[in-house]
Amino acid sequence: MLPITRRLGVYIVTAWVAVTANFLLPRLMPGNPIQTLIGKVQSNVTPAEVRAIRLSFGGSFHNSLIHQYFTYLDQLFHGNLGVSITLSTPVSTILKGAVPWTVGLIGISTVLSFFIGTITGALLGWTRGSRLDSLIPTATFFQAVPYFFLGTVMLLIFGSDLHWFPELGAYSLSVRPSWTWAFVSSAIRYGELPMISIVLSSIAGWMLGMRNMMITMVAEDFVLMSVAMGLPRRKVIMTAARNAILPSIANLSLAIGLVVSGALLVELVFNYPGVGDLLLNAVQNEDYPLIQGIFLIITLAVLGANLIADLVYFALDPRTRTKATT
Amino acid sequence: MSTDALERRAAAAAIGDAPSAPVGPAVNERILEITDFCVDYGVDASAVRAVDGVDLHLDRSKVLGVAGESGSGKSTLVYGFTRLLRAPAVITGGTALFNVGPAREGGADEFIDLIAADEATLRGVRWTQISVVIQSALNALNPVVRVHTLFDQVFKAHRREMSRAERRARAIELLELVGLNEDRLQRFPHELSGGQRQRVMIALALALDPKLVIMDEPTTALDVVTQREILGELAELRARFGFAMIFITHDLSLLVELADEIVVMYAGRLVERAHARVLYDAPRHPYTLGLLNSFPPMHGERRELTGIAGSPPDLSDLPGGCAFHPRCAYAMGRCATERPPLAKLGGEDRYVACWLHVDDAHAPVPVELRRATPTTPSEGSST
Amino acid sequence: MKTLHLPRSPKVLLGLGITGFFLLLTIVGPYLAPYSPDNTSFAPDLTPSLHHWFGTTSLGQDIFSQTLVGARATIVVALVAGLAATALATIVGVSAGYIGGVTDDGLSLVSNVFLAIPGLPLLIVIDSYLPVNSRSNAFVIGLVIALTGWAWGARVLRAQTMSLRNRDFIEASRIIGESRWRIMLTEVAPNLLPILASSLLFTVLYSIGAYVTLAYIGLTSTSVWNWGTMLFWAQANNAPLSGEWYWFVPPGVCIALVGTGLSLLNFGIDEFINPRLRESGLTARQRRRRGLPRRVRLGLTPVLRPAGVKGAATVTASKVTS
Repeated sequence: MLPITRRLGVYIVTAWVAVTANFLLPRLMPGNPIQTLIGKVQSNVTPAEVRAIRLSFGGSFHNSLIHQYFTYLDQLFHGNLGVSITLSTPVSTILKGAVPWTVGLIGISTVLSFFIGTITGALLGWTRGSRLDSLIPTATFFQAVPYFFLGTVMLLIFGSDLHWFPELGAYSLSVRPSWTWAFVSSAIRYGELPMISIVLSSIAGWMLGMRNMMITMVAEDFVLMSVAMGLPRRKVIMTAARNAILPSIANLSLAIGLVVSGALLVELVFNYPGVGDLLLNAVQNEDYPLIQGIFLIITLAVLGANLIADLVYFALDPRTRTKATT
Repeated sequence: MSTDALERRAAAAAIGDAPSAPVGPAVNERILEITDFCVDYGVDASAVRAVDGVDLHLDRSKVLGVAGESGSGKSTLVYGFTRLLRAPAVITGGTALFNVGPAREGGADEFIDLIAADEATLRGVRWTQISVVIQSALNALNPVVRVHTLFDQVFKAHRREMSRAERRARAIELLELVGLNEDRLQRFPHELSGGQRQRVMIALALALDPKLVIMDEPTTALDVVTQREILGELAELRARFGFAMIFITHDLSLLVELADEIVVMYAGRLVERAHARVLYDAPRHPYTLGLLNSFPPMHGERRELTGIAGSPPDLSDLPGGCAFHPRCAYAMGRCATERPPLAKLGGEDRYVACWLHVDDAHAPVPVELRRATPTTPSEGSST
Repeated sequence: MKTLHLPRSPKVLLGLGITGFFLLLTIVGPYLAPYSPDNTSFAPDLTPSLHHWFGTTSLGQDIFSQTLVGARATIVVALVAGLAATALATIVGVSAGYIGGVTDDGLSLVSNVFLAIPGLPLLIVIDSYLPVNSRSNAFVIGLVIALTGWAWGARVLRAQTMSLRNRDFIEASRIIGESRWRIMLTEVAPNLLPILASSLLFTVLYSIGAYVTLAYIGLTSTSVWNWGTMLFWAQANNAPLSGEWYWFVPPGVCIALVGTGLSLLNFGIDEFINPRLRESGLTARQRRRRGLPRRVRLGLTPVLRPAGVKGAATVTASKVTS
C-alpha cells in the first residue's frame, strides 16, 4: 500500500471517528443532555428550528440507535448541523461567517511561524556556539507561556498602553466587510497583534527542532562529503538544511493541533470574530449544537492541513516513495 | 639532487606499472610532502594526541597504503592533512605541502601548505586536485537528491563553463568507467546497492581528474566478491588515468597488490614504512608481523593465524617508550623507557621504529623479523 | 547499564532548580499562604504592597495566597494527567512496536486518529458534556486530559521499540526462549527510559497548558483554586483592560516558569539521548583565548601551533626535495 494511501485512510477514519464521537458523546453522559437541551430551548426557538435540532442529533429517540445514527449522518451530509440555541441561527450559517477569519489568522500565523522558526533554527544549529545561542532560553520561555496569556500581555502592553496596535476585533468598526482595499488593509492591521502573539508562542518548537536536526546533520557523512567536494558554503548549508527539515514537516500534524488549540484562545483575547470566540460562548451557554459543529469543522480543517503537510513530506523525501513508512 | 634521492627516484620509477609523467625540471614528481604532522583531540590538559609527528611523501601516480588497527590514527592522519576533521580535532603541528601544478603554462610546479591554507584555497584544491572516497558510502551520498544532481553540483562548483548537456555526457562517461548504466543517474541513493553506491562515489571522485584520490576503507562494508571487483576496477582506473592514491585500511593483504609503498601506524605513530612487496615478505616491525599474521592471504602457503596479544592502547594514557611494547613479544628493557625513532634501515629504502633494528641493539633480531628482502621488488607481485 | 553523566550544562541545572522549586511549592504552598484564598475581607483592587505582595482582586482576595494555593491543584492535575497519558502511551506504543503485525496496524491507527484530532477542541467537547460535579474532581479532569494527550508519546515509543527490537541483544533473548512479556519488561523497557522520561515531561507540559486553558474558559469547577481559575476571574473582571496586571501576571508567569523548567529538563534528556547535542567543550571566549577560531567550521580543521612557529601558505618547488 502506498504510504500516501495509508495516510489518507487514517484521515478518513479519523473524520469518521470525530463524526461518530459527536454523535455518541451526548448519549454517553449521565442524564439526557439532548432532551434537557430541547426542553430548555423550546421557548426560544420556532418549532421548525426545534425539529431541525432534533434531526441534527439523529431524529426521534423512539427510533433505534442505528436509525438515529444514519439520520444524523444524513443530516450532516446535507449541511444540517443544527441550530444554535443562543443565536437562533443555523450552525452552518454561523460557521460560514466565522471560519474564514480563523483560517486566515491561524493559517498565516502557522506559515510565518514555521518559516521564521526553521530558518532561525537552521542558523542556530549551523553556527552552534555563537552568541545567537542566547535566543534559545528566550524562545523556550515564550513557548511555555500559554497562548492566551501571551496574547493578554501583548494586548495590554502594545494595545492599551502603547497604542501601537488596535485593540479588539478584526477590523475597524468604520469599515464594512467587502473586498475593498479599505477593508482589507484594516483587516490586516487588526490582525497583526494576534498574529504576532501566535507566532511568538509557537516559534520555539520549530526553532529548537530544526536546530537539533541541523546539529545532527552536521555530523553526517554526506554533509562532510559536500565540503570535501569543494562546494560553496551556501550549498553545504542547504544540503544539511534540506535533510534537517524533514522531521519538522513530519511533526507538522502535532504542531498544527497545538497551534489551533492555542490560537482559538488568542481569538478570545482579541475579540477576533473567529471560531474560538464562538466556542467559548457556546461552552458557557451549553449550546451543544454549536459546540459540536465547531468541533467538527476544526477537526476537518486540521485533518486537511495534515494531509497537505503529508503530501509535502512525500514530495520532499524520496525514501518514502518506495518503502512503506510508519 | 643527492645520490640518495636519485636512487630513490629511480627505484620509484621502476616500481608499479603506471606510466610516469614526463620527467623534467619544471614537473615535480613529488605531489605530497607531509612533515612532522600532529593532531590532537581536545585542548589543554584533556587533549589526546591522535597523530604524533608523522612524515609522509607521495609521488605522482603512486599508491600509498596506510595500515593499522582501529584507533591507530590512520583516518585522523589522512582527514587531518586535508582539513576535513571535525571538532574537537585540532592540528597542532606540521606541514602538508601539496603540489598544485604550475602557476602559468610551462612554469615550475608550486606547492601550498594545506595546513596553513585558507578556505578559498582549500576549496580551489578540493575535488579538482584531491578527492575523497569515504568509508561508508551508505551515508556519504545525500539521500534526498538523485545521483545526477551530485555530479551537477561538482561540475557547477568547479567547471562553470560546462553546459547542461556536457555535464550529463560527462556523468554518463564517468558511470561507464565504473561499470554502471546511465539509468543510475535518475536514481536516489537508497535505490542503489552497496556496491553501486561505492562505484558512484568513485566515479564522483574521478569527475575532475584529480591528482590524488584518497580512499578510506572503501571496501570494508562490502562482501568479499564485490570487494575484489572494486579493487580490480580501481587498479585499472589508476593505470588509465594516472592519479595517485592513498588507501587506508586495516587489512594489509589488500594493500600488497594495490600499493607501491605501505606505512603502518600504531597509536598515532608511524612504525614502519617500506615498499609493499618488501613489507609483506620481509616485515621488520613486530606489529607489522602481527598484522600480517592476522589475515589469511587468498593464495600462497598456509600460515598459522596468531593475531596480536592485548588490545589497542588508550591514546590518553599511552605506555612510555615504544607504544607497542606491552603487546610486543620481543620487547626489551629499552623499549619501555625510550621511544624509538623512525629510522632508515641500513642501506635499504625502508624505515622502522624499533630498537631491535638499531645497530647497537643488545638482542639478536628474531628470524621472522629478518627475512631476506626480495631483491627485485616486482618479483611475485600481483597476478 | 550506561553510566549516568551528571548534568553539567547550565540549562539543565536551571531546569532542575525551577522544577524542584515548584514541586516544593506544590507540597508546602497552602501552608505558606498568609491568608485563605477565598477570603474576601480585604480591600479590593489593591496594588502590590507589604501586606499583599501581589495585591488583591476585585473581590478583595489576596492574590499571593491564591497563587501559592493554586500551585497544588495545577501541578497535581498536570502530574496525574502526565502519568496517565505516559502509561497509556507506553502500553500502546511498546506493544505496537514489539508485537508488530496486525496488532501494530490496529494500535497505530488508533494512535494516529487521536493524534490527528486537535486536542483542545476535543477536550472542550468532552468536558462540556461532563456533569458539573465531576468537574471538580482532579482525577476525572486529569484522565480526560490524558485521553487527548497520549498519542504523541505512543508514536515515539513505538518507533524506539521497533528500532530496539531488531538489535542483537533482543534477538539473543528471543532465541534463548524468553517469553515475550519478559523481554519487553526486562530488556526493552530499561532502554526506553530516556525517551519515557522525555515523553513524561512533554506530556506534563501539555497537561498544564490544557488544564489551565480549561479553567480559563470556565470548564473546571471554580471552587478549586488553580492558576487557570485565577486567570478566569481576572478576565471576567476585566483586569487586563483596567490595568490590573498584578492579578493575571503572577499566575501566568508561574505557568510559564514551570513550563520553562520542564522544557529545560527535556533539553538535558535530549542531550543524553543524542550525544551530538551535548555542549562540546569550550565556549567561544575560551576558544579565542587559546588562539582557536571562535566557531568550528566544517572543512576547516583549526590549526594551533606551539607559540612561535608559523606556517607558510605557499612554498616554492625548490624547498621540496624530490
